[in-house]
Amino acid sequence: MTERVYLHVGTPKSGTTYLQRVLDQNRERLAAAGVLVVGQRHVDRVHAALVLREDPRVSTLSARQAQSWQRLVAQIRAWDGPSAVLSYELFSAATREQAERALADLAGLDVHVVITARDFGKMVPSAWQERLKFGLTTPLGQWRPAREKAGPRREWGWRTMDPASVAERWGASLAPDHVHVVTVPRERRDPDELWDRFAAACDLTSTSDDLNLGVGLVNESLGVTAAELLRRVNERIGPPIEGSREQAKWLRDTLAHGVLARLGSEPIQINDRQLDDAQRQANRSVQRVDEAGYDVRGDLDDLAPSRGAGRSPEDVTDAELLDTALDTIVQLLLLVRERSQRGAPADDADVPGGRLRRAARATAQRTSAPYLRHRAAASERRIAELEEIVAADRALHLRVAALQDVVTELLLPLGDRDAEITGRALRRYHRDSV
Amino acid sequence: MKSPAGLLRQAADGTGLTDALRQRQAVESLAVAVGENARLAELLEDQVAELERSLVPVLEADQRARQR
Repeated sequence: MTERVYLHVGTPKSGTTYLQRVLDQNRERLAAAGVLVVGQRHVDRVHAALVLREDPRVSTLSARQAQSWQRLVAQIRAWDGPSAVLSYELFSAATREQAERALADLAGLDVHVVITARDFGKMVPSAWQERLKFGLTTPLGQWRPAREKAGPRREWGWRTMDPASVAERWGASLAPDHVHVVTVPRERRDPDELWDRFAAACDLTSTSDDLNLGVGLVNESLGVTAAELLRRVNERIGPPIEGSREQAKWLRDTLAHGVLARLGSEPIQINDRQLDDAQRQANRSVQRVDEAGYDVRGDLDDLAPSRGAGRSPEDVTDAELLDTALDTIVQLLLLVRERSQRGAPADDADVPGGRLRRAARATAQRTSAPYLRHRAAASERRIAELEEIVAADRALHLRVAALQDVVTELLLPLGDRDAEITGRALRRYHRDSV
Repeated sequence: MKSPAGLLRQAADGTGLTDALRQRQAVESLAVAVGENARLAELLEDQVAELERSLVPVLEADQRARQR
């Protein structure tokens, strides 16, 4: 039965993708140690955060997706191990009332809030890049993160990036020792150090030795030239690529992550004004964390802002931009070619009968569209049913594994047995089997 | 000269229809595998529950011995 829940709620751009990959990759091993990684898929956690934050985008979700938060809560409550970890950085945008509601849904459990945070100076270009992926056109030199007082829809501002701000909303009703601030090491001397600090906050240290920490790095950060190129593309792009869904698909996933992220990795540097701004925010943040008495894993000095190596996007030359733009065109051509070979039709306007074929295809598309929508909805329902059956099978496998543990314990002499394993099993058997 | 089936296939090309049909087949064959698994799990679940029940007195004795 779940006793403790660790809610890793932010901050964005503080190694969260790495930590979530370690958790997801080691889901089975953690389960064997009694730790539930909450949410079968990352997208479940994304939807849950939208639901909890009452984001208007919830109206575009399916009925099942709109229940994501409730399903995660049910998953936590149904777990038969001692702890659960739920990690998604954009829970950080929740208001205090929304956070309180989340904690109320978990009433009766020992809830801890975990917040990872990094160098405030490095957060600025990271947040700017994220905004570029959604059409921002403001040059970095003129941009600053939204103020803390900005509304909950502003996902890329100090409100979500400052650990003190997040801790005060999520930890308002928790004891300070239940709010853990984990700093990202300034120097990456030991590649596992961030995990070690996070694991210590989530009480996972004893299982860490058995985990595979070698997750592949997915570089979603843009180099300075690619970032400036994207900003200039944004100045020219318009309908139909507008609105967050279209921008996520074409600007973020296709152009930024699919192409630009692979074209150079020179870091982005902030200017004096931005450094001063980050310094003021960091000073206040460290003071608030310190005064609140939260549990700090790592060193609050890690949050002190640095200007960063590299260059400012304003210093990128036109020749560099042209070079990166040419590489981008080549990569996009290869992408179009690959996708058209995968099934999309080639343009057959110039071949005999091409016009007739296109007309036939347009008719086929119009007539098949309602069927396709119906099929997609039916497939989604069927997959949801299958997921539920698989989840039940998974629970049974864990039950068999636990049974093996108990039998192994009983084969040991009395003094060598782990009372916690046998005691937990007895409580569960009384509850579920007898 | 293409057969009617060939012409239909050509018209459907690029509409997403063939992908949807392929996906439907994939989901159904997955459903068969999951169904077989679930039937095996039913038998196993009964055995597991029985084993758990039979372990209760042993575990209670273990606890009593520990308390002493």
